[in-house]
Parts: sequence; structure tokens; C-alpha cells
Amino acid sequence: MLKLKNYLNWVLKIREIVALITLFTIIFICLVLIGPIFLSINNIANILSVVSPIAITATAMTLLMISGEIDLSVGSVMAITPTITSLLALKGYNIFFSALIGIGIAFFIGLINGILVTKFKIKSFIATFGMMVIVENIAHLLTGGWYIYGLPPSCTFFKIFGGEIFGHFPVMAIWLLVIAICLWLLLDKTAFGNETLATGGNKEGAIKVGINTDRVKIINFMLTAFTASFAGIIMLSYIGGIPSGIFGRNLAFDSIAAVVVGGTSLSGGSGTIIGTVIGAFIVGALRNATLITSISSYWAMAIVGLIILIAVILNTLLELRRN
Amino acid sequence: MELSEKKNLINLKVLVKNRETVPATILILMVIIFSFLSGGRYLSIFNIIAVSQQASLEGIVAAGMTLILISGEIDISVGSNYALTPVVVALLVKEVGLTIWLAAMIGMGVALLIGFINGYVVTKLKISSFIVTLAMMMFLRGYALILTHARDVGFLPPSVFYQILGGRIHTKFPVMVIWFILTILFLWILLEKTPFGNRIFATGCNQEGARKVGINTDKVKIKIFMIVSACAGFSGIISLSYLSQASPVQGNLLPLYAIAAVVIGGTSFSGGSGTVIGTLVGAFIAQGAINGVVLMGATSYWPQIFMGAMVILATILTTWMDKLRFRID
Amino acid sequence: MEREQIVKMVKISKNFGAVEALKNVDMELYQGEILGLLGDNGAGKSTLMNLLAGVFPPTSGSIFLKGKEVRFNSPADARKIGIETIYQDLSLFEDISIERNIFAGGEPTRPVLGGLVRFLDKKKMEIASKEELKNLKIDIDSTKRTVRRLSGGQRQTVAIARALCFNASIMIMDEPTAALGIKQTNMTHKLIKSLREEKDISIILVSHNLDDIFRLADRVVVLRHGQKVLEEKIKDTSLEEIRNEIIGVKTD
Repeated sequence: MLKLKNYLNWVLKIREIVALITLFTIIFICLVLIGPIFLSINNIANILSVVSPIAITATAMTLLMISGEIDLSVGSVMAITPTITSLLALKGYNIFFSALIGIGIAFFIGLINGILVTKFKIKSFIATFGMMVIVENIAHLLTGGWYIYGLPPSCTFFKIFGGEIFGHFPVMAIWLLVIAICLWLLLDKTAFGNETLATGGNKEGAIKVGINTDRVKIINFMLTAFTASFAGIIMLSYIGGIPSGIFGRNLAFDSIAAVVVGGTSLSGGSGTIIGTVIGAFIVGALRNATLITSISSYWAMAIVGLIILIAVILNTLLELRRN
Repeated sequence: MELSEKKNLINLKVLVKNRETVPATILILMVIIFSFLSGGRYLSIFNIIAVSQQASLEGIVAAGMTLILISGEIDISVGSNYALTPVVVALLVKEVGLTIWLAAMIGMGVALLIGFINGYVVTKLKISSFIVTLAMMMFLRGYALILTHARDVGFLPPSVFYQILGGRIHTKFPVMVIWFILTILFLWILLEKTPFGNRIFATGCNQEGARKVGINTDKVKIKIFMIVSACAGFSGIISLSYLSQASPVQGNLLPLYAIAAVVIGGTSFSGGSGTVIGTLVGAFIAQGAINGVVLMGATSYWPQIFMGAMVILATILTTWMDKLRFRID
Repeated sequence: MEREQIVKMVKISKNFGAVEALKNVDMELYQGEILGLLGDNGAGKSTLMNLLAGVFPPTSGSIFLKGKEVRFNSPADARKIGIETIYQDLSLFEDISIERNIFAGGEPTRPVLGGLVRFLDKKKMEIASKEELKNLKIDIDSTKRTVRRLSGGQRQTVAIARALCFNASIMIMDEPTAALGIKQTNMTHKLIKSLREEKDISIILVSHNLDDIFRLADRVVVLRHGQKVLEEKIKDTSLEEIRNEIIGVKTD
């Protein structure tokens, strides 16, 4: 009996435990409701294609939220980078060059976000909300509301970012792995990662020990914008064009949900990349499940909202227990 | 210093101290500029009515949102609430056969319940209001879509219901503007003249300190969440009467517009202080600006870009004014 | 002169989870005295103070006020019977006016519309706060100004004015001179003495500053590891003895 209690205590100490349990619960429910086809090779590939852009953005968002800020504009960044990229490419520019410009614009947007929050002292919620509206509508202006097509579907660029190997396995999952590992190293092993944790944990204290908290936040904003733009490039490559309207609309919500369900506290100061990735899988699996069934996506919205709430409550309780 | 000069300085001080001065000035300037640029069309009766109606629907919610921001929280579920409440009312009348008044009362009850849940989870379970209301927003929106099978619910309002909520006086003056002004007045009195209002300010300024002097900050916040939800529900019911339909997708941008009105009206996002009168002005500025930009021939995307930029600029301006006020005090 | 006992805390224990912050502490407060409550960090003096202030209830034990047992469900209950606490951070609200600050949590009201609704009695608030601030000899031209601009000493006076406006009969003061300079500390000492002399308020002084204690207190109670280790009249003990008891060094 004592051994069981010790084991239980050890298990509860794993930060990502809530995320893991939620993930397994979701997979179990989906298997029951949908059948073994849910975990077929084909569908796993589909799930990965939904999860990857969310996870890529969410990993950088984790650092940003650890440092105490939030970015609601990621969806609009994810939309505008491929828009600019494909418009330039259609005009005849080399596509790699066009992508660089598109990503450069994203860095710029991240910089603006960072400056608005640190130098103008606007709360990140409002600043990125405003930027989201502005950038999203600029993207719509550029496309004139139409979808973009006409790019060569089998060019190398698309293969590198949005291709498939071994049949249906999406390359973007590899990119996800690369980025997740890089950001994990950044958070866990570098001085910058430590500064991020300190800034979020106690901003005044961090300033007093000589950390440039403004710089930390600005860099995190730029990283988040970068990953969002990268996710946009990936989606562009995967789809081969830009579907009109709802491109990137859900990204902010999904990535924040992934981060929060994964165990990062909204008030900052702590969090893990692994938890976020698990969280991204949860959100992605749910979106996939509603796509392949006749369950309306409205149920999905309601359910995702409920699950986020439950996961956050559990995480909060665990956090209190840990202290 | 000459007596007249001193008097001028004192008046300037008062102007700056008042939170409502800046938004009032912006409103006046905006009206003048847009009237000029649109060749007078901006001030046509038709246009004024259109702007007033939009401003009222969003302003009622913004008024409640002002209290939320003062107390240091946020509620982004208001848009979904604004959609769900009229859906519930319309369906209760059409499918269940209740009278409109009973249905409306139940609808308001639902709205109050939503506010209570929001407030309870935020205060007792100690979860950030952003997350709680985000989840609630998704949940309510999904639920509204489920109830209506994603279709608008057509609804013929009984004449009295229409007259009282969504109608016009003398075929010109929209009644909902009166409701907006009444809501603002009610909340202004609540904030400035009652102990509850004082406690809202105290909770927003220094929650720990408020607790220590015996203020039940949880109760205060729960009540505020219920107030803003009631505002969203009420506005939704007015829109039902006015549009003759309940749409499950309406109110998508309502949180943005409501927060914009509050921020443009001079309430600071950091809590502890704010003004509902400013929100009244802010609602008209927000809607008036969009309307003006559209009148000038801008396509459907520019007004929103303008709105986003306006919110950011207004926040910067408000922060700057706060600093100025601090120096003058 | 035999002083009346007004507060009696009997066998007070307080646990936070597995942590025993207070173990079977007895404490009394007599009318018109200044009682020093001492102890190192973590000794339990904040906990004891919070219990009396009504912030949380004791795990076991009872509190008696003038012989009657009292239970506090919130700080509001403690304030209602005349126990006012001035915390180290003063619990002030930056962006609202001085008078609103003073009456936060206990705002006076007047009936409006035939009693249907109650509004803030702003006249009462202004008159009362002006009166107390004048008595405390502080020069503030308007109680409608916000607290933000006030100096540390002025802020503390506002916090004390708050206690006086609520007719405190018992005041708990938490590190009142911690953030003050020497001149202001001196003035605070004069103020505390006058509170006792002119208003017969009984004061519990929680402080690290042994100088404060020796200048002001009639009696001292020292806590260590949640237990009472010393209770003496100030004239019957010494700086050395108190310090040793706080730290826990055996003397003979």
C-alpha cells in the first residue's frame, strides 16, 4: 500500500501528467466512438498534418508565455507570410527568396509586438489583439479575398516543407521535431532560457539581477512570430496554395490551448516544451476527430472549450499541491 | 502669475484630470473631420441612426465590460453570450410556445448563470479569467450552433416587444439608444455612488489589500461577471427584437468592439480605475470611426484595420494620460 | 493600577497543511497597554496577528474579547468589534481618493429614494477623514486626492486614520517603522504613544525592531517556532534576554 502511494506521488510530480492523461483519454474516447480507423496509418498522417503547425507555433508560444506575455496575432502571421510568399512567387521571384521576405515580415511583426508591450507598456493581450486585426485584414487586402493558386505543385520548395515520405508521412512532422528540440534546448540549456524563466517568475527581481527583461520579451515575441510564419510556409507547401477565408483563424486559440493544457501556467515562470507538444496533439486529435466524423465541428468547439477548462483546473490544482 | 493666467491653468488641470475629456475631444474632432470629408453625408439622419444603433448594441456590453476591466479581469465570452441568449429566447417561443416575456426572463436567467459560472471558476478555482472566458466562449458558441443546427432562427417579435426594445420613436429615434444610456447611467451610479462601486475600485487596485480590510473580493468579482453577462444577454435580446432573427454566429467580434470602446473611452487596462461615461463616448467613437471610414469608400477590410490601430493608439494615449495625470496631481 | 483584560487567546494552534505555525499559544492583552510581539522570521507572530485580525480561523483554541468568545469568519468581523490592523503594506489603493481609501470595506451610506437604495455618504466620509487626519497632525489639503502621490509617512497616517475612523479599541500594528527614516520613526513613536494616552487604545506592536519595542512597549511576548517562550513586563527583562529567546540560545 505504501509502495502504491509512493508511486502515485512520483507520478503526480511529473509536470506533464495531466496532459498525458488527457491525451490518452481523448485517444481512447476517439477509438471507442470512431473505431480503429482513428489510429490507421492514414489517419495518423492526417493528425500529424493538423498537429504540426499548431505544435510548431505553440512551442515558441510556450517561451513567450513563460516570460509572462501572450500573442494572439499568430494566426494572422501564419496567414500573411504565405500570402506574401506566393504573391511574390507568382510575380516571378524565386520561391525561396519570396519565403525569406515573407518570414522577414513576420520577424518585423514580432518586433512590433515586442516594442508595443515593452516600450509602450501595452498589455500583450490588447497589443497582439490589435495587431491580429490589422495584419489579418492586410492579408485579406492582399489576396483580395480570393484564394491563391497557380504555384507549381511539385517544386522542390514544396517538397522540402510540405511533402510526404514513406507514402503519407508528412515531412512537417520532422520539422516539428527539429523545432521542438531546438526550443527545448533553448529553454532548458541556455542562459536565455533561464532569463526567460526568471523574467516570467519575478520581473522586478530579474531586472535587479541584471537581466534585460525587455530584450527577453522582444526576442520571444519574434520567435513566436517566426514559428507562426514557418507554420504558414509549411501549410502553403502542404496544400499547394492558400484557401480563402479561414486560413490560420484558429491558430491562436489552438496554440494557446496546447500550451495551457500542457501545463504552462498563464502567469508565467514555468512550463515545458514536452507538455506543449502533448497539448498540441490533444488539440490536433480533437480537430481531426471532428473532421472525419459527421460530428459537427460545433460540437468540437464546445468540447475543446470544456476540455481546456478541465485540464487547466487539474493543472492548477496540481500546481497548488506542488507548492 | 496673473489671476487670469492662474485660472486658465486650473481649468486645464481639471480638463486633464477628467478621464472623459480625451475621448470627448476625440469624438468631437472625429465628427468634424468625417463630416467635412464626406461632404455632410456623415451627419445625415440615416447615418446617425445607423451609428447609434450599432454603438448602443455594443455599448451596452462595453458598459459592463468597463467594470470587468476595472476589477482587473476580462471576459471574452460576451460575444457567444450575445448569440446564445437570443437563440434560447427565440427557440423557447417558437418550439416550446412560451410567451416572449417569459422566454426573455429565462434568457436573462441563462445569461446571469453564465456570468455566475465565469465568476465562480475565476475566483474559487483561481484560474485566469482569460482562459476561463476563452473556454466559455468556445463552449457557448458551439452550443448555440448545435441548438440552431448552424442556421439563423427567424423570429417575428410581438409588436409590444419590438416597440420597447428594438423599435423607433416617431419612426426616427431608436429606442435602444435609450436603453444604452440607461445602462450607462445605472452602472455609473453603481460605480461612483455606492459602496459596491468603491469595492470594485479597491479590488482592482489592490486585491490583497481589499481582502485585508474585509472586502469579499470573490463576491465582488462574481457579481461583476454576472453584470457583464447580463449586459451581453440584454443586448442580445434587443438585437433579436431589432433584427427579427437570432443568429448563432453573431457577436463574433463583440469582445473586440466592447474592449475597444472601453479602452478608447479612457479606462486603463491595468485595472483600479475607469469610467463608464468614457465608455459611452468610446462606443460612439469606435462605431463612428468605422462608419466614417466606410463612408469614405474604404472596402470592408480597411475599417477593421483602422479599428485595430485605433485600439492600440487609444491604449498608448490612455497610458500617457495616466502618467500626465500623475505628474499634475 | 490594575488594567482590565480585554483580549484573551487561549491554547491557540494554527496549522497550514503539515506546518505547525502556532502551538498552544496563550496571550492576553490589557486595556490601554502596548504589547510587543516579537520573534524571528517564521516564529509565528504574523500568524498570530492574522488570527486576531480575522484573516483565518485558528485550527484549535479560542479567542475571547472582554470575556465573550468570538469567532471571526473574515476581517470584516474583526473590524466590526473594533479590532483594526495596520499591515506593513498598509493595504492602500493607489488610484482612489484618500477618503475612499479610509472607508473601503466599511463605507457609510445614506438612504436614497425612500430607502430603496443606499448611496455612499460622501459628506460623512469627507468630514470624518478630514477630522482624523487633522488630529493626527497631517497636512493634506483635500481628501479627494488619490493616495498615489503621498509619501511613506503620509500613507501610514492615512492607514492609521482609517483605524481611527472605525473607532478602533484594539490596534494591531505590523512593523510600523520598517520603511521609515529616523525622523519619521520618531514621529511614529510619538503617534503610537498618543494613541494610547489620548484614546486609550490597546495596541499590539509586531516588530523586528527592538528599539521600537523598548521605547514603546509595556510588556513583551516572544515567540519561537510557534510557541511562546517569554512573557515579561519590559522593565523586568533585558535586551540580551529577549534577543536570546528570539534566537534560542540558552542563558543561565
